Amino acid sequence: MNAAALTRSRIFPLALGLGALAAAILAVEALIRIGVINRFIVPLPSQIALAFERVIVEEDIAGRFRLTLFEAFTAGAMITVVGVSVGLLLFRINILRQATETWVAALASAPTVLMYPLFLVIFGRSAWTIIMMGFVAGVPPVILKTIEGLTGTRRVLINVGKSFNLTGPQLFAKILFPAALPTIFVGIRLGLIFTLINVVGVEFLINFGGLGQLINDLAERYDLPGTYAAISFVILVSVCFFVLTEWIERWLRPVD
Amino acid sequence: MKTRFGLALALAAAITALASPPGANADDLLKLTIGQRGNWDTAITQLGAKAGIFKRNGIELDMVYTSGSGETLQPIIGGAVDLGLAVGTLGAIAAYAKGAPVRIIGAQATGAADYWYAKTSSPIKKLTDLTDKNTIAFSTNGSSTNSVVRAFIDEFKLKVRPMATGNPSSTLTAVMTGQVDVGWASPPFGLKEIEEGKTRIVARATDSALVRGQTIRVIVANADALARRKDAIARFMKAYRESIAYMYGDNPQVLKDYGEFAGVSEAVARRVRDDFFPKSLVDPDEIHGLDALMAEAVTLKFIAAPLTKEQVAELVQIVK
Repeated sequence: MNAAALTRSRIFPLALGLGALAAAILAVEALIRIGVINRFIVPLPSQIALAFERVIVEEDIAGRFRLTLFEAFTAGAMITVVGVSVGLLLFRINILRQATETWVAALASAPTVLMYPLFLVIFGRSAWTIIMMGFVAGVPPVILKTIEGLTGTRRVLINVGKSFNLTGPQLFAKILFPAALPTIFVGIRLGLIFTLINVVGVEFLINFGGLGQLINDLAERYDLPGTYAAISFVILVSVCFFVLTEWIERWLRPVD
Repeated sequence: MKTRFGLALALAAAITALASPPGANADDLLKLTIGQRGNWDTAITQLGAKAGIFKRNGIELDMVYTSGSGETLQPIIGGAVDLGLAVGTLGAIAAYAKGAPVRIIGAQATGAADYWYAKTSSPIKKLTDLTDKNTIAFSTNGSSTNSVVRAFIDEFKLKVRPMATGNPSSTLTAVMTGQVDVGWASPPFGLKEIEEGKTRIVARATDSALVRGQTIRVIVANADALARRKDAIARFMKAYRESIAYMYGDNPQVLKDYGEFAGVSEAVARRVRDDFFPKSLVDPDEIHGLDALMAEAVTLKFIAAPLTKEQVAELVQIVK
């Protein structure tokens, strides 16, 4: 099988990814065992593997996983709906775009996580504080990438639509939106990254909710294998999201 | 020829000695991580260093403040720093039980100065006013404030619901916005609100008999540093004790220095010391209530089983 065939294969990239991950884990295990990495700072991957059962059985990981997933999913849905809508609005109303795009870009790089005390006052000590923190952190990239995707549509495609006498909504649905979709999804993925970081970070900071709170608790107990096992579940939430986004993108754009 | 060579060598040695920078004969440098910046009990090294007590004992301090016990402990375990102050006793026990190279070399806080408060407009005036409809705050699961709240509930037979609210600042927000009925704080935090009549004290940690007799935070050393630098660490502990004596003496400078350090007035500084921190609270020479702490550590899943006598003897090595 040549390189091109390997790349086209569905199994090979997956196997290569898993193999690379396994090799990295084995390398870390070896480095810790020979003393290059301090085992009291980074636990052995084999200890982390053993800690999974304990964390699942004793720490209500299913409930915490569901809560973090719910918070991240709600914030993710909100950044998608609000971000794409606002991006579209700014694309359509040029003066509004000129007036606000810089502010949106500034918000994207602002450390909004520091505003958590304000959010605690507004939304109380509830999942909504965490969801809103995730939303505020994740929505700017979606807005910016939506504008970028829509403005980047090739002129020739729009002209073809106009030559077919498409109405405004038809032009948007048939040409602008499909053309902008890959860039919009880049924005959504970026937004989801910021959202998830903030959701787990705020759970950790305010000691409320799902996996972030558990990571805090386990770290305070100096249960390092447990802490890393809990972090693995955060990665799992992230994986769930990215798989879901890929499915949705493929569903919206069945043909590339 | 030999004599001339010897003379040249002696001359070179003398010149080198005279030209050496002061640092070449410097004090022993000890690196410290310290939790809870601004508290009276965690300011001992700061105030002692300012008064020149550590210098007098041949110790130079490199102090880094942290935001929690875990953060204080981790660099000690990794060997990046020598000593950690205000490490939760349960955290130190947990780290030792898991094989980490930590040793307890002194008590940092026996009993606690933490207090619990409610809004002045609240009907809650004392702990026994709390019902199952009320909430009481603690910082994080497994923290010393969590232990105090558990002790309140046990000793006063309360039905109140405990709630983790994080640090004193976020707890004050939660109290003032009605999200929690009774908040916690560690002085000097919150004294301004009490003086302004916005909040009132409902209970002190020492209202619980269990807490009064427990060393809740300790001074921890990296085991390797303790073995290699025993003399320097012994001089550190001597200076630490002298600093405590200075802080509870009649020199008004200490209150001025603490006020500047914690950002409070001298009057508040005096109140913090006289009303909340009896000298016995900061006595480093004995770890109290270890049996009860061990049971607490098991209950809160810090350790799977209590440490044996031999393990305790290895863990607790008070440096006198």
